[in-house]
Amino acid sequence: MDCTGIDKILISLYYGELDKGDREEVLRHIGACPSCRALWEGLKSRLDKVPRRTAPAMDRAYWARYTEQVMERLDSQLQPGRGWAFQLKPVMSGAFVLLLFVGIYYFRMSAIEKDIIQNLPLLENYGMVSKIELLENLELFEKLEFFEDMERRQSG
Amino acid sequence: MQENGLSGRSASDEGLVERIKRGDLEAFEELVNKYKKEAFYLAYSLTSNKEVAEDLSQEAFIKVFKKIGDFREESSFHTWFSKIIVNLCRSHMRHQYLVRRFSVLFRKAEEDEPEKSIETSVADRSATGDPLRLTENRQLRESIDAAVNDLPGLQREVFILKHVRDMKIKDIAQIMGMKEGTVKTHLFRAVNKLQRVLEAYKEG
Repeated sequence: MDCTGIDKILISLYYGELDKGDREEVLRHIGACPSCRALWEGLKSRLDKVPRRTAPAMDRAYWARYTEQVMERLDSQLQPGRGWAFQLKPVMSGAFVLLLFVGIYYFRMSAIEKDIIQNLPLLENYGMVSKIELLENLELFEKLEFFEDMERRQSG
Repeated sequence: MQENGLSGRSASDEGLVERIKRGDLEAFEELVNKYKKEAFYLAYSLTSNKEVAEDLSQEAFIKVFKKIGDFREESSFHTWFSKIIVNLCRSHMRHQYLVRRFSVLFRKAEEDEPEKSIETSVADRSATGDPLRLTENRQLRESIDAAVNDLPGLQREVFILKHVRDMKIKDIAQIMGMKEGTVKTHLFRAVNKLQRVLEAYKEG
């Protein structure tokens, strides 16, 4: 056995999920390999410190009531007309998703508007540039120059 | 076998399932009685809240009754049922996360703090009656609880199912829909993350 995949093997070893043969082989390897031994000791000491079980004490009456509640819940959902809240669940989920999208749209729009306000001077310049480009595209500048030439000749 | 688990549970699961498939409510009640503790404690381990665990575990039973026709017996009933509980808890946690995020967005105060969990714990194991020692143990327990709750989603679920609920790695792999090796990798990473909390406590 070598150190390949030792982390996974050590997890199985700690939780007692190796069969006897594998367990002995891993323990032999740990005994001979200082780095794997250090890894194993670290893992073991850490996991030993974490509590194994959460168990709030519940009395007998609680468990009796629990069963009754489940049966009542089932009964209310099986009888037609009584489980309206359950039937409305898809509608409510749809409304929630819709609200979520509206909310996201609203926040995104606010961000875009903020961006526009911050960059307004830049946009004004951009507007001017586009107008000049438009005039150039319509060749109005050239026509203007033509008329200016005509005027110059007449006066000359 | 864990305290709240069931030994020999597979003895009549198939029979109960067959009867429930035919709409037998008595069989369903029997199933509830058989699995209620395990269902509740699994949900409690994942949510750290008694009321939520009660609600979600009961909801899981209702789901069993409604979806029993979908149970194909490719896995054991126990695994299938655990998967339902884990999925319900996951949805709940995701919902809680979204609520928390939106609460921050709309600047609402968050009120429902999860209960401080783990009754049987380090403190109970090594309680000596020394108030200082008890306080230290409680602090360590709370730090560990918080650290486990802060683990990334899958690592947290896998760690709780294995370390707290003592489930077999093979069963966890089926419940989570992943390979056994992936379960072990998540466990190993979870332990490495918890190490930081434990080391910090030791140094402090």
